[in-house]
Amino acid sequence: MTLLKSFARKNEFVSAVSCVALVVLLTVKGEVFWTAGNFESLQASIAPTAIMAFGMMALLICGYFDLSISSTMLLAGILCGHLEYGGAPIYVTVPLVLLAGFAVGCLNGFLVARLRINALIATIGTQYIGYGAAMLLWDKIRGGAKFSESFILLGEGKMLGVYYATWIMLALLAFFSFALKYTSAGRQLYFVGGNREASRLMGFNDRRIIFGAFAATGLLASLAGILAVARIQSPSQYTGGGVHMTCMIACVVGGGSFAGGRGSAVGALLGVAFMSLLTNMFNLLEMKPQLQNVIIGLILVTVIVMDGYLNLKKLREIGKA
Amino acid sequence: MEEKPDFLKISNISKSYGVVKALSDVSFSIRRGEIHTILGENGAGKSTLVKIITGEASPDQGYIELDGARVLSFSPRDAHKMGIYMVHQELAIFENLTVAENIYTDHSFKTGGRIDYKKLYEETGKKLDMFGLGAVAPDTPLASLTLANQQMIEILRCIVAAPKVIILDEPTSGLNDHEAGMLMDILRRLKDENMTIIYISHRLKEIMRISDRVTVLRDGHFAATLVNDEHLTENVLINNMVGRDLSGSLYKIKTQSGAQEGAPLLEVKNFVKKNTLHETNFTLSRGEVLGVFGLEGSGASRLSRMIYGLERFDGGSLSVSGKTIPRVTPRALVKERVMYLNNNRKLAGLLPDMKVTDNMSLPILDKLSGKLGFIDFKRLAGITENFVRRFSIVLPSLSAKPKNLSGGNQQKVMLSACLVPEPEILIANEPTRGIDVGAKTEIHKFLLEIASKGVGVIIFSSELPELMSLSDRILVMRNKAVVGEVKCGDYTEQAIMRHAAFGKSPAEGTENG
Repeated sequence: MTLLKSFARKNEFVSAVSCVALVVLLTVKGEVFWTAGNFESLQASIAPTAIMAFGMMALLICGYFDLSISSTMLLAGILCGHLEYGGAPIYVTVPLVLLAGFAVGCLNGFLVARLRINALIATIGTQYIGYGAAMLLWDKIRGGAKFSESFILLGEGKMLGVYYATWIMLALLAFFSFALKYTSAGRQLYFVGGNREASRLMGFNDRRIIFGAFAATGLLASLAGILAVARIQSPSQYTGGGVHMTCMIACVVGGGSFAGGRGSAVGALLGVAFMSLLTNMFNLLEMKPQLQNVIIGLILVTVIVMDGYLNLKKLREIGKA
Repeated sequence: MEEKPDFLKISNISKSYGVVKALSDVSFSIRRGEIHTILGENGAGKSTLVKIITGEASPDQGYIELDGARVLSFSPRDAHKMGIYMVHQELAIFENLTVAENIYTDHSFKTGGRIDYKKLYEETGKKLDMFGLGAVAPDTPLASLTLANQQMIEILRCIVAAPKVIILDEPTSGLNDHEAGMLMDILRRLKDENMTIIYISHRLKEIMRISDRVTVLRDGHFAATLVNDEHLTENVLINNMVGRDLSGSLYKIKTQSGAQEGAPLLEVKNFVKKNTLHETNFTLSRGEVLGVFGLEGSGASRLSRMIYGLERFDGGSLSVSGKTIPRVTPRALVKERVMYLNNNRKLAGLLPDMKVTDNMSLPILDKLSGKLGFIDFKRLAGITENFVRRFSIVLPSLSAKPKNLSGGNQQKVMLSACLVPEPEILIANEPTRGIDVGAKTEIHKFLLEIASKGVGVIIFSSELPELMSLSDRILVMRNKAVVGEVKCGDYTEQAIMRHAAFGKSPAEGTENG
């Protein structure tokens, strides 16, 4: 009982319960849910999104967010197309594309941490740049062939019946869970997000910490892009569409906050699982896309209102609002 | 008591911010292993001095010596390296993290790069026990602790860093008697371990109880360093804090009230806010200048914000000319012709990048607009010119931008903008902060002039001479409540300061000490 109570107090509680509720609902309502095909499509949607959500969660913990991950993911997929069609081997393609994602992340970090530009404006800016660049590159490979066998294996290959992408995601889950809890760098994210001014007084290099979180997020977005296009076997102009919103909603559902200072990797994964199960339910129930948007929008607003209300209450106590 | 050697030497330190001289030629020494209190009114220079010691600011002139070596670089990091730590008044804590992490922010306990939580909690537990906080579990989130315990945790954080000098800024402001007593015990213990403690507080009884010596600053100058022996009394401290010679100064103490008879213009009834303001009542008459005085943390500034609806309050009502305002918001008050002069020009008083005329037009935009909704710029220029003349504001042209003006002229523009709508009540929060003496006198003259025309003025100020020369009545606040009222004719700095320093506040059970 005490175990249950302490679990209920955890930030991940809402997302975990929501996931279980959705699974129950899906089991009762749709016969297709417990099928191998459905699990494969769930994995394909969860793995890349969760990989990015780990980065987004790190950003939320230190009080920031990144709206450019969708275009970075898209750009990464299209770069894969260019390199693949140009005959580059996989061990050249993957590092180069990861490097590109890292570079975008560093640009975001530079704009926000160093030049102190509002994260909303800065990352919408890089989103536009990334999207425009991706579309320019896309024009040159439009209608290209399939990827090489080795690259497709990255998306199609399985170990113990589970996709490589999912294994990579689980490895990152373990890594981020450890780093956020047991390393100084990880804990510093919580200090900076909890009280920026005070963290500076403690001698933390707050700007470097924020920069690092942005850089990591860019890197993870390109990794997600690689895995996504490898899975569909060719580059696509639709990769990553809207994924920045999905990730943010997922992270807040999973216990993150726009005010910063809290969140976990498990929460990010649970949030993404919730979003994917929800889409899964929409599809299995053949719900109209318009209605889907309404529901997702409602969830976003509910979550943000709850998050915002708690922050407002605190501000009122200290007389700032 | 045996003489201990000098440890921290402050030599001829001066520091200015613009035209305002925060410290002039301050020199004194602090000995190793003593508890040394720095005392002074708001604006006496305490916080500037402390900032220089902690490396948050560097002096314009003079130097600091620590243990015989001159301090050359000023940054918080360097100060930490030298063993100087500070417990800030506004808590530098992390509510989202545990007690343990708030104490050991540098994660001292690691095995191979991995944070060892078991060890961290163990060590924290030991420290908590040592300082009488054994009931607090090391893994409790800080947000669930009382304010007092949060403050103790911050103090503990400084202590575990094993500093040579620890500076505490109003550490007992959030503590009750028992907790304050516990803190005193801890400080005495640290002193016995030869730690040097710099203590900043307004609570005179507490200062008398804990200090070895007290240095008093007054208007940025060194006033005295007093040894806390049997000769030191609270009156001696107060006299040193306020001991200005006002006979030849520009401030003439007001002796005759200009308040008009009749129904009150403004009435504050039972204003309360949890942890911020104890039940407060007062009235303002037509033509009256009401002064409100309080030292830091007295709640005076926040009361001014509450009256104008800038900060929410829990209960109470406000009436203007006998009419109760149903919902206190700035908009409702402007409608009742109440205006507020903000204490922060830069952040919330002026539009620094818009023309002076635009600044003036702000409160009367709707009245300036004709039937078609166009702004009557000619009339606006006329109004502005009128104020510029009456107020002798020095401007290159009416379209000059406030950011290019001196602080005094900025303040005049801001005050003019408040007066453009011809208010019946003016609430002025620190109306002359950070401006030169000439501009100050002019603003004072102006405030008295509008009062003589029947406007009710409330002035929240931390400058006692200013209040005594302007006000018909002074309310004194201390510890979140109005603790005294001094009428014009009875003004002495000592009398007012006595209220401000130990007037009995209903917000507390019994006085400390």
